[in-house]
Amino acid sequence: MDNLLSFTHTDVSWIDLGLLFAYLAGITVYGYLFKSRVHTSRDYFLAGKSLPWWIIGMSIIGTNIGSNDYVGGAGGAYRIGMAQANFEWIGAIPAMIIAAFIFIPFYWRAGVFSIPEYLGKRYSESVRVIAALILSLFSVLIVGVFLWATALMLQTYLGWPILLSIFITAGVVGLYTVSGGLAAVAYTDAVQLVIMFAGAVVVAVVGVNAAGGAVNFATQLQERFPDHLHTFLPSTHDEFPWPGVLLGLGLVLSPAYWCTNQAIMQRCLGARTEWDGKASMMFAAMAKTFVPLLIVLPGFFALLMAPEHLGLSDQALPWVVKNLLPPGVSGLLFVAFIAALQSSVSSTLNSASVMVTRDILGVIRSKRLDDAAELRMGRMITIAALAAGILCAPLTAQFRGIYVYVQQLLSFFQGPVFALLLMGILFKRITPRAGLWSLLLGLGFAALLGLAGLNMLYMAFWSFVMSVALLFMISAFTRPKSASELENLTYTSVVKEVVDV
Amino acid sequence: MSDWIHALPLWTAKVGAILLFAGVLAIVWSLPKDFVYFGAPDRGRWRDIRIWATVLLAVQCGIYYVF
Repeated sequence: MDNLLSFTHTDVSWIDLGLLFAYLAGITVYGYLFKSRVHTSRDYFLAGKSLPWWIIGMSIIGTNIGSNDYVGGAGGAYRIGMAQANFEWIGAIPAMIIAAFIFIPFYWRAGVFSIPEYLGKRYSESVRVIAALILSLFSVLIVGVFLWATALMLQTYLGWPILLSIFITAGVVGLYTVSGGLAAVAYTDAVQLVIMFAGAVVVAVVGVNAAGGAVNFATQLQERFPDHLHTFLPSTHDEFPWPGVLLGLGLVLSPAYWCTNQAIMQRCLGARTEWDGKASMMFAAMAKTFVPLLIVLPGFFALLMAPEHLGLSDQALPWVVKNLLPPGVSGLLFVAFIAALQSSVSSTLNSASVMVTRDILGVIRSKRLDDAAELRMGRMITIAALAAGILCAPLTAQFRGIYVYVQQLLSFFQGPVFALLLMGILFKRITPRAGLWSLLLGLGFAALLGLAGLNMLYMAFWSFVMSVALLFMISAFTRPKSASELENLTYTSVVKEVVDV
Repeated sequence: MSDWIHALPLWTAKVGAILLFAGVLAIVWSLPKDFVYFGAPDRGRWRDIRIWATVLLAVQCGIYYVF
């Protein structure tokens, strides 16, 4: 517990320290400049529907990449090889394309601020509140995990006390997120993504050179670690059996994440046109194709060049930073890591704020707030979510493998929520009552599977299947919404309208 | 998961992945052109995001075929 409050000595160079301070000061000022653009709650939550496709695309990937992708990703590549990249390829690209063509047009046309709001329009206010409660609770927990991970990095690298590091990170991110809203979040995310990719390219060049050039690097990998060059692992593999990757990750978890994640989707709802919203996700998918460059290569560098086997695979990235990278380059990677975490924190805060303000308090309160009051409340909720995240952060230390724990929490509710969204968009006959009961029973079924110790990939798949089955069964005996109530909310109504126009 | 799935050879996974990509491509190209371009400021060829999707999925097929 000493490192919570006390400074420790480290050998960080002044170049690295200068890079970090320049980044923190620059990103705070840049984000704060967006305050002048915020006049209404629409400006705050949706950037006034003004964002171009390329900014949103960069922001999506900035939000998506977190500490787990750097440390856990490199560790995974060290341990299981290229199969780690499944999370970036088959576990992302098809779902992102489906999100662009099928989901974003519906959310955008429905004129909603959040995914729970869409569920409310498609099903009922009860479904909206339940979904918002689950998603915002998860957001606060995730903010705590991100803050703790950032603080651990600052503590290890600079020797700063963990509590001080948490408050510095929260202060920087909080200042521009509370003042500038989604526009500040999206534009700072874009800058942060450039820093992340710049860091990755420099690390790749330095690492490949250290391995004796690209040809030598590839040859050594093929000769010494041929099993690390396969994308799929045997069906008997404990962590990532290929049927689980295809069915659980490819068909359920990944579409559930990319099509229903509020932090990801919120910037698409802020697009200036429907086409910008769709194109933004496609642009993000292109960037996503190259993300393994950031995460897999450092793991391979450690695999080839570490003199002895690393006890913990998550030590792969720290080993590369410590042993391969010169001052300046290690600082750049460190700044990229902090940028990745900050972009995830700011996006999660902004999305939690919109869900609590509009989908929970907005529904529960009998009297609707005027716009100025909603904007004030949005800012207050952002501060409250940040404070709750700070309080949750130290809890992270109590759990071993907290990120896996969080991923398991995600797989509890992603299957049922995704089932409601997908079936709700595709089939007019699905009824509000079916939506409510499938959500509740689907969550209960996922919890039972989790208690039975089922792999989280299979848990997501079967809870999705169960929820779909329940949606159709209950809909057969209950009353659907009328065609006018479902306008712009289902596939047939939207496509028919476009073709008619 | 059922025993029969464990008995399948590893190349089945590659076939499954490529079928998934092909299925997504089929969905994308089945959408009306007006729906794809809706909201675009002009109808430039580069704004047809079905072509972006095709390139992306072709790259994925290549990766999963090789590795």
